[in-house]
Amino acid sequence: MEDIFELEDKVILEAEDYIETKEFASAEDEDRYEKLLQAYKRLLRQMRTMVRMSDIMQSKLNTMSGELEKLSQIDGLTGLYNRRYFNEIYQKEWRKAITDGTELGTLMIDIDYFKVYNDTFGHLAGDLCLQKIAKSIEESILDSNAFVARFGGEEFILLLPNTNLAQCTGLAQKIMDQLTLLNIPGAIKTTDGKVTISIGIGLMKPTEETKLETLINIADQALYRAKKDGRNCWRA
Amino acid sequence: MQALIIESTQSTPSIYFDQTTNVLILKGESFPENAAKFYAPAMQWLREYLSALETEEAIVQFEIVYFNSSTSKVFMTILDMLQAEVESGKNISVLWLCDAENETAIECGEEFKEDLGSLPFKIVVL
Repeated sequence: MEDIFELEDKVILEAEDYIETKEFASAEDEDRYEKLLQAYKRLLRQMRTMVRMSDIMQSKLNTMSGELEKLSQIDGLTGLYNRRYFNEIYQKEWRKAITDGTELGTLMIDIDYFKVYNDTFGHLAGDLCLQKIAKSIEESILDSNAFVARFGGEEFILLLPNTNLAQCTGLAQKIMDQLTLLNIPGAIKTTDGKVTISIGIGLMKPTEETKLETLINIADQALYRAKKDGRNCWRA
Repeated sequence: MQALIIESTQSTPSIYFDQTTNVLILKGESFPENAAKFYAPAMQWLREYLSALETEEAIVQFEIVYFNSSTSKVFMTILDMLQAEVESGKNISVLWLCDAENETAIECGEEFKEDLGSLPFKIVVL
């Protein structure tokens, strides 16, 4: 098909052929027929324009809806994926891990003494700090298959499909090392006065019987232990 | 004859047709569920206005951000009416106003323009 209106064009050709034959009962009939054909051509032209405009409009709306969907997945401050999108991916990976019989890992990352940091340097400096750490985490996981999102205020979460304990702890250490290189001055005069993070690692093999929130809870408890053990460390 | 004023809604444009200034404005977005029904009062007003119009210049101004297919058909019908009046010697021009960033509206204005004969149709990019 070269033209979506090829049937309409065929009707016009047939009508024009018919006019050529001059087989009309009267000159009035011929005149009327020609006028009807002209009106049909004009309306068809309008229809073509309508379809073109409608295509332009729909393509624009389609692009916009794609952009909006992307925006709805992103955390505005850090540019990482947001918690809503994390939940979506988490559910998918959870199902996949059950099907494949693989282990699923999460790293819950929390910035140490972030409230003090905000109170000392102000919220704008706090935002900058969040952005720097988000970028640093992103860089740390570049060559892994981990998925990172901002989980809450000063909390980030990593999801590692098809993983094991060594990979999880290795990545946690890499993230901590990378952050040390950043040397962000902190508000607490411990750990050389630098901003530090604590990481809780959760790892499990999901089954049909286990609950979706279990893995997050395990990581949360590990994070709690890391905080209790003096912060600036990871616990699994 | 009285001016026709219809306030805009989320899916329909505002209509401000004023026979005293001879400026007829349609502004906003146009996605009415039933375009024929929504535009019926405007078409009726326009018919009466055009039949009473003499030598004075009339300006029909469209400032429509987005519109659906039925609306485009209504607009073509309006443009056809205006075209017929211009052919019979009346002084009417159409302004298609659009934002510089709204390429879609500019492109659609060009599509409308292409389909016209002697009716002056000017695309004004704001």
